[in-house]
Amino acid sequence: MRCNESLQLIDAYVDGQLPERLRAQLDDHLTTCASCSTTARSTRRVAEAARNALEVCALPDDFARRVMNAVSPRPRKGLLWRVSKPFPGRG
Amino acid sequence: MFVLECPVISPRLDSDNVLIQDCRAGNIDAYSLLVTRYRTGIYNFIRHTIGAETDAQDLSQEVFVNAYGALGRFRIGSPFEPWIYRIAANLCRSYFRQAKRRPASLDTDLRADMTEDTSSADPIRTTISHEDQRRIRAAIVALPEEQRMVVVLRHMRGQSYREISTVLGVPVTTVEHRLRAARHVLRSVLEDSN
Repeated sequence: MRCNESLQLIDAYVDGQLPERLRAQLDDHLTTCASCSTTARSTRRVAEAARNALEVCALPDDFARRVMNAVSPRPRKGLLWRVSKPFPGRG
Repeated sequence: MFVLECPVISPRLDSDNVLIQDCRAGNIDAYSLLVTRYRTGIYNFIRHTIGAETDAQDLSQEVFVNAYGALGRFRIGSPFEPWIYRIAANLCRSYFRQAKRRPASLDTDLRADMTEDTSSADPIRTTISHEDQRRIRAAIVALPEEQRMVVVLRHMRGQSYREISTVLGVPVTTVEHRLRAARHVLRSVLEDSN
């Protein structure tokens, strides 16, 4: 494998996205090429830095309830009115 | 182009599909389980993409409401995660089109309500200084929006290139190019700091 091909593959290599055959070829190249090996190390460092920088935050506790309120079918106004209205002759 | 083709039927895929079928059958409570399962990921994807916390909460709610309305069009047997992330990505694009504003800096201290990602136990993380983290965070915020979404999906969600291509509706090669371009910028930030 040549350096120009290696440099095109290093990101996918670091991300574990290369097929086995290409990964093995790149492994071989990296053991003999100091320049590409340095690039692979720095790419790995960038990937780790990005992962570390993107912290995970929690949503408010009532988030799921708000979503469910928004998607739940609402009773028709007329039906509610009829149900809540006192029966004739009472009260 | 170099990505492994390895379709895997995960327990989660099966479980998501069962919940969706329950929803379609009229069991609305099944949807709350899907919301609970995906809310943190969707919210943080949006939050890091648009960089505005309150708007991210509103957009996250809109994602789940829109997804509920579109459940009838979901193809049973396919994974739910890229489907709902695609809805989120499209809402982020609409947000940028409508607001025409740059994302606010994430350096405004959002860490008060931060919960630690469980994957942070990786010891290599400790080799990145807090100052470098701050620089990288600022550089991610400054990336072009489409590159930023790739970075967030890859590094926060750990999605494969193929999953990212599905979410963003672009070829895998485009994902690779955007990630390489974004990392080129981030690498220069780290090198400048050393």
